[in-house]
Amino acid sequence: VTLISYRWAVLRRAGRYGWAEYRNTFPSSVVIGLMLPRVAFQMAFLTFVGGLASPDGQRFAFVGAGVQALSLAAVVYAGIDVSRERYDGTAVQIRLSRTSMALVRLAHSLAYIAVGLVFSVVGTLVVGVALGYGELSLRLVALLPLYAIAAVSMLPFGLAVATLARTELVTVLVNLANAVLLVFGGIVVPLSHLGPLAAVSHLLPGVNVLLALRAAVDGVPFGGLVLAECGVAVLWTALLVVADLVVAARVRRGVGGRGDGG
Amino acid sequence: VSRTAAGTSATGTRPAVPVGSVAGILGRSAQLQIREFLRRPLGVVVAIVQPAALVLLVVLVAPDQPPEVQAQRVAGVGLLGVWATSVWSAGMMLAQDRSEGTLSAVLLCTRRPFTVLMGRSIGGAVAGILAILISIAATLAVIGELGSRTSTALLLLLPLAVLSSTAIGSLVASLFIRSRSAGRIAEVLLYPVFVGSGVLLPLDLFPGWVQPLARVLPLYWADQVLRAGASGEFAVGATAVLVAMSGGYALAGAWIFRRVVAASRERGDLDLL
Repeated sequence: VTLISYRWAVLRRAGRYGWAEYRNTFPSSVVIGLMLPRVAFQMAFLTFVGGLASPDGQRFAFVGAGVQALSLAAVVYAGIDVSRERYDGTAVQIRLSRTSMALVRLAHSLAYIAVGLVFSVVGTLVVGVALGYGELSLRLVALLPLYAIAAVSMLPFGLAVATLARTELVTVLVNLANAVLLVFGGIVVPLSHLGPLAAVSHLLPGVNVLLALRAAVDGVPFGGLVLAECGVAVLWTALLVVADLVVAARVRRGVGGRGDGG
Repeated sequence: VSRTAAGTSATGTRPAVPVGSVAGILGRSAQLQIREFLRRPLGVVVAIVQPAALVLLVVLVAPDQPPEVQAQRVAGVGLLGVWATSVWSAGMMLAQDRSEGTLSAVLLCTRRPFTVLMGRSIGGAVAGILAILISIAATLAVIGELGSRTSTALLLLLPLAVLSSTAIGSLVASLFIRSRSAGRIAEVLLYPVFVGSGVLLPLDLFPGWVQPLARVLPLYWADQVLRAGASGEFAVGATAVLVAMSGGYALAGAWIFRRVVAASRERGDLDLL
């Protein structure tokens, strides 16, 4: 019991540090003045790209763009945090603690789930009103718990990619992972256009939630899709733990210039 | 004469460019920036990952479009990539100098620092645009959509893109000198142009007031040249506007750069920003 309470305290502290670091890295003025406008324009751009196919394609992409906004925070920014830990030398300290590094990283990165949700909600409302999807955007925002599930699923995905990457390549690989979600995640391109790859796409985080969101908007039952997304979240969390074990083994062999396999 | 452009000697190597050779300074600065590009992962993201993803998006989202429409859209992605790489490269080059402590050396060197900046913008443009072209060609080859129309359009893009990208890069870098949030500013500058430049998305999707805004961007005119070239014509007027506009942007960049640097030198806060 003592160990469990100790670990719980560690994770709570990691969450608080993560939030403090996030606030330090991205001050409110930068978030409001630069990042939220970027997210809104990015969502508008993706929505219009969907419109290159048809008006229905534009509406389809608008829903997808809201999920893509989550990925910016939960995959890209959270992943880049891993390289920052290595550069700062704190990754080694976390690895030497008694609490699982994967859990500490997840707790530390919870801030990015909150940030992703803010990106998604604000972007959906602003772009929705601007492009004539006001009513649709309100219905989507009412489904916020689904977005939260998608963000929870994306976080271990981004962290696993970043954990396995060499430090210098973390930025490239988390952006590549984000691009994979964008192209193969049903955001703008319907899964039916992907041929045999569509089956694999269901293992990507956020894809099943996106299908659930579209089903919910169309009044179709979506419970199974939410369960599938929870399964994907568990899968990626397990892969994060495995990635962490791989890096731990690499560290024990003395591979990696920064003492954490990177 | 053994002195050199200080901005190019941050690595401590033996001076090689004689003072007075503007072409030499431009060349050395461009070389330095190309090395930086190859060394920095962000350049790979902007010039390789993002264009490849966008090509896949525009091709896969409407696979039944005629080949000439697809080719035009892919070329449009190339132009958007040029904009992205110009803004990123420009935004980050001085930010990196600041973080590595070489900003003062660049700005207080014996030759005009704007010449160094122009050289670096040229280097960033050349490296970025070559990477974009390779990325797009490789992506099209993988998905089997590499047609002659696209190839022609992409080759035509090259000189125009280097010209406009250098001009934009020098202007944007001048604006970023005093900012600690250059990366975030670069991010926010990307997508409005992606949306409203008329390069990929038709301008008739937007309200009428967007169209004059698109026309102040070199990208818009580069796109006009490309569209004419795709149908076998040479758009003299659009090319002239593009060249003139690029020159205007470069001059504006030089003016802003001089003002910002002079202000920072007066305050003595170059290394405190």
